Amino acid sequence: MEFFNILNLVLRYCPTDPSEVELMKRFAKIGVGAGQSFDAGGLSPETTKAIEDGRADAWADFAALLKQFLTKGK
Amino acid sequence: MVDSYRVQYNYFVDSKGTEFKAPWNHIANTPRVYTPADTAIQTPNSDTPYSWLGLNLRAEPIVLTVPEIEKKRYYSIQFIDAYTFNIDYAGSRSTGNDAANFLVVGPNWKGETPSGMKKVFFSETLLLMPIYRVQLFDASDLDNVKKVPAGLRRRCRPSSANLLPGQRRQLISLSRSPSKHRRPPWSSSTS
Repeated sequence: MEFFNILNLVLRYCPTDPSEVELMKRFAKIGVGAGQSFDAGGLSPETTKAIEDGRADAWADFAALLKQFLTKGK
Repeated sequence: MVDSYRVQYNYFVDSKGTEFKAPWNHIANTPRVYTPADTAIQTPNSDTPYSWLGLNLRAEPIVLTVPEIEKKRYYSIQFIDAYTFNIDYAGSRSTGNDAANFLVVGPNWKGETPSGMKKVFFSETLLLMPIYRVQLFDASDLDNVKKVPAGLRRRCRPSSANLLPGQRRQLISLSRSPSKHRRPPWSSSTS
């Protein structure tokens, strides 16, 4: 989950786009954003599970795309 | 964004690493083709000599100067921002092969464009990675290609070098200035 602190570093160089103000407010709730600090150990069990589930969803999507690529060539 | 910064960290920050190219805002030429030993970027071309440049536009805009490049030789500068958007290109198919100056400016910059700029490139992010590619016709052509980066070298410079003091202040005041660049969390080096 150190991923998010690297993201926070890069976000310091990315002024928020006007269309993403609300998005960044949501990210800020878990410590993601320019100048924020992400503390994986400080999250509630529910939030930790939600993040892990989200990661599992992403890997499942990726596996499906990979399968599609390997079987259909596109 | 994180993986893109991983590449930039290897190329422009980790000066003791084997993949290091040059500090921010300095061009590094790689006048050879890539081999399996070049591992920072997943799938670089292995028949294309590259020049690398990590731009930090925090202090002020940057001027990129390119020499005249022979008409038959394709070249491009691909501008990739911190979101990994391809925001624009300079080169044979967009700005042509003539010698030129390009001004690269960061978000919210509203200064006057200095004279002599062929084009202004606007970046939404303060970190930006322009990637230079120069066509190599065959293996025996490498010495000719090496002359192109020689023309690029030392021509990446703060735009203030071309400007009057008053203009320089104007450029700086209109640039965004987040706090100083920090080392990423995975770095334990003290350099």
